[in-house]
Formats: sequence, C-alpha cells, structure tokens
Amino acid sequence: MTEKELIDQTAGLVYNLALRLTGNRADAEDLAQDALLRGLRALPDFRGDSLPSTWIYRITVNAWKNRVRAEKRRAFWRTVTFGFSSGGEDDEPIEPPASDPPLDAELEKTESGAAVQKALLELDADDRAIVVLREIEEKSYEEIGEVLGLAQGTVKSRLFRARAKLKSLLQKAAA
Amino acid sequence: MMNDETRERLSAYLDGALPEDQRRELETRLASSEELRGELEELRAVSRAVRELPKAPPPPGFLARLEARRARGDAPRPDRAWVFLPPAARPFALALSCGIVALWIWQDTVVRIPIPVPAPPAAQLETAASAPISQLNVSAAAAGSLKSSADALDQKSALGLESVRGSGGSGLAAHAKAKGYAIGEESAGAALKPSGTAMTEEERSARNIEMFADLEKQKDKLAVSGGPDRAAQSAAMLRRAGLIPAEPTPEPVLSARAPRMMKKAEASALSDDGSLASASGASAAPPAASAAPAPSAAPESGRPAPDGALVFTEPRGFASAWVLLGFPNDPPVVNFARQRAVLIKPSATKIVSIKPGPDAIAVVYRSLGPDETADPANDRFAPIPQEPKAVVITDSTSR
Repeated sequence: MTEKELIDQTAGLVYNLALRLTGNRADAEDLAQDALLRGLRALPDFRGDSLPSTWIYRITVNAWKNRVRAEKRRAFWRTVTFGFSSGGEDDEPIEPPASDPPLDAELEKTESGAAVQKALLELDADDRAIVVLREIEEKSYEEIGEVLGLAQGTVKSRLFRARAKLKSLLQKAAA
Repeated sequence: MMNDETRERLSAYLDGALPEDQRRELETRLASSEELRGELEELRAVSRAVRELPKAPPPPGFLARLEARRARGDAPRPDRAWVFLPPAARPFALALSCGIVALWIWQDTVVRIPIPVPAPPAAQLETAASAPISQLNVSAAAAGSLKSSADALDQKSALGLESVRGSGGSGLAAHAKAKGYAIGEESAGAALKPSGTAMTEEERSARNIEMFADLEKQKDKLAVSGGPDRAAQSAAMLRRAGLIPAEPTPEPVLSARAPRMMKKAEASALSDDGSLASASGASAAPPAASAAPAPSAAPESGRPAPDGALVFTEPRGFASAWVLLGFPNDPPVVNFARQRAVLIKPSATKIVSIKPGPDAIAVVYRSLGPDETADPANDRFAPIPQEPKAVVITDSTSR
C-alpha cells in the first residue's frame, strides 16, 4: 500500500471516527491528522495482517486514548495545584470536561442527535470507542478486538455494558 | 427473571454475533417473554440512535493541511508527557533533585569534625589557648586552676621566667644530655612501649624526654603559633601517648573549611580529659603542707623547668600520667577538692621544696646523685594546695 492509497482510502473514515470520539470538528481534525501522520510514518512496517482500515482505526483510537489520559492527568494536577499553571503547551485542553461537552451545533441538527452525541461524550474512553466502532463504523467483534486489542468475548461483554450505560444516559436525558 | 448474561446475549444477538445454538435458545425465550422482547427493543433503539448520527466528510482543506504538516515535518503529538508531574511542578522537582545531589556530594567530600559536648566556656578556651604545653588545664570544673593559668602567664614576664618555647623540649633534651641520659633510637623506640614493667629508670626517663621532645618537634613542624593550636596539638600528642583518653574518632585533620570548629573540638577535648594548672619559672619554698607560708615565691638558684612537671586537678589524668611516667604501684589518693598533684617528669629526680608564695607556688626539684636511691612515689610526687595560683617549676641541679 502506498501513502496515497492509505490517505485516499482511510482519511474520511479516520476523520469520522475522530469526530465521534472527540465530539467537535476542531479536535477531530487535529486527532485525524495526527493519526494519519502516525500511519504514514509507520506504513513501511505495515505487513497487511489486518485490513488497512482496522490498522488505521487502531492508531486513531490509541492516539485518542492517550490524549484522554493526558488530559485527565492535567485535570488532576490543576485540581491539586489550585489552578496554578505555568501556561505551557501542556496546559492546552484537549477535551472539554465530560459534564459540559461543547456540542457541534452544525453537526447535530436535531435535538435527538445532540442528546445522543452528548450521551456518547459522557461515556468513558473505552466504552465510547467500542460503541463508535460498532455502531458508527459498523465493525465486527473481531475487528473491534483487533483495534482495541481485546478478545472477542471481552468485546461482547464490554459492548453490552457500554450500550446499557448509553441507554441509561439517554433515558435520563429524556426524563 | 432476566440476568446480565441474558442481557449480554441480547446485545450480541442484536449484532448477529451469537453462536447458532445460543441464538436458537434466545429466540425461543424471546417468543415467550415480553420482558425480553422489550429489553431487546430498547437496545436496538440505542444502537439505531447512534447509527443515525450523521457521518461528516472531512472539512475542506483537510488533506491540504495534512500535506502541509507533513511538508513541515511536524511530528505527531507524543503519546505521553515526559514525566508524570505537571509542567508547573517540574522546575521545583528539578531544584529539589539538584539540592539532594549537592548535599550528597558535600557530605561525601567535606571532613566532618565531631564536637565534644559540652563546649567549654569562652574563658576556658582562651586560657587553654594561651597556656604553654606543660600547662594543659583540662579540668572543666576547676575555675580556680583556670585563673591560676592566667595568673601564671601574667607573671612570667614579671618573674623574668624563660618562655615556654625556649625552655620546653629543647631544655629537657639538654638536661637529659647533661645527666647522661640516652636519647637515641633505642629510647625513641622505648617511648612507644607500654608503660610500666621491665624498664629501668634511665629508660623511663629517656622515653619521657623523647616523648616531650617529639611534641616540641611536632609543634615546630606544624608552625603552630597561636595558643589554641598549640593546645590542640599538645592534646593530640598527649592523646597518642595515652596521657589522656583517646577520642572515639580518628584524630581530625585541620580543614581549611572549618578551622575554628577544629580548634574548639580539640580544646574541649582537653577540658574533658585531662588536667593541669600551670607551671613555669623557678623558686623554692617549704612544702605546701608546711604551716608557715613563705612570704614570697622568689626564684631560687637553678634553671626554670616549666616542662619538668605536670600539675593535675582531677584524678583521671593524674592516674594515667602516674602509670605512663613509670611510677610504682597505684597512684596515691589526692583530695582534688582541696589539692592539686605535682608529678616531676624526669626520672631519677627528687623534689627539693614546695614553697607557696603570694602569687605562685614554687616547686623545686633536682637530679639524684649516683649514690642516691630512687623512690619516685615519694620523691617525684607531691600534693600542693588547690589555690588559684600558678605553679613555678625549677630544676636546681648544679651543672
């Protein structure tokens, strides 16, 4: 696979996945470009053991989970240091607080769509990733297992739990 | 009743991911259970709601911006921060690390000097600092002896006495030669022998003289001129000779980084270990026990011998010196609350007189003649009053 083929085949998929994971266009573009740059850099080592889309999805999800972890660390230290900050690059927020996510108004034109997107953003990283991969990207359990590095049985149980949480969140929003 | 396993199978059934046997079993249960069907519909509604979220194509210019980033050689964002600490805390962590390393290096390179406690008062340090070698006052409690040390120093010039450096070890060496004592390699070796048993009077005398002559050499070698340094070096020599107990730590080396501390350490060691009032000059007088005090302590004929005797104000140093100088049997009992003890250092000598004066107590001794028998316990030891007076030592041996 050439670099052009990789970009042509996966750029749209990666951007859409990033959009559902991050919940806004700006972070989605940054994450998608980051994932594609990683993919292009790692392309010489890609042996074709899995589909290119599965491989680039794995890169995207891992990059996003790393960002979430880094943001959690920063949020923790912002709390324990009482807001004292050096103002460095590391202090730039990657993801808004889950309690009040900024929804992309243009993206979610309907009220129900906004509620679903908000509920998605309230899931933790693993749950959100598995729901997005299954429901939006329509990946099989096997492919989800490859992307997230999980066994199929684990994918099945985690997907059930994520759906149950999402259902609870949507019911709460509807009430 | 529905459990989590059944719900999990419902989720997998929704995705078409159940094995055939489980799928058939679940469909049978679904046909008979309205609750199960309701649960399945709720899960399907959630799934549908997420699937209906619109898919958005990349925004215009997305690929161009990606290519631009590639062209600039932008690296992807690193997965992890370089440390767990937040940016604001990193400078403090770095400073703390540097401090710990600096402390470790400092502790590993600088000589540490133990400071004996309690530290002597400033007045005592000052007195010890200015005392001659033979006037080591090491009794912390003997304020009177401190004063007598100072008095003795004040009187040295008034009495026309020889300075310590001029009449110290070199004077002893000359005295030994005059008396025919051997000062050579043999006696030097004997100086390090354990005190005591099978030595002749001459050997003991030669050893003692050699020891104090060596002390003078050490002083000159170290170019010690200040009082505190001299006291410190004397203490070190006496400690090596066993006259005062050894320090628990190795003898410290003078450090340029803490010279004052070293002097204090040595001086306070003196105060704890030994004793001395003072000694210098020449005079003769009746014994201290005499009921008739002399009107003065005028010098008698003879030469000043400030290094010829040791004066003790406490029992420990007295007992150590008694053994080291080769005195027989146990040291006599001295009431140090009221008395001091004088020990004449050269062997084959005899105390001629002890004469209290208004300002000093004069102790005169002489060498024994060839036909006289040595009795060190009676001839070279004498108690003297515990008065705040200097002790003036004179050798009246005719030359």
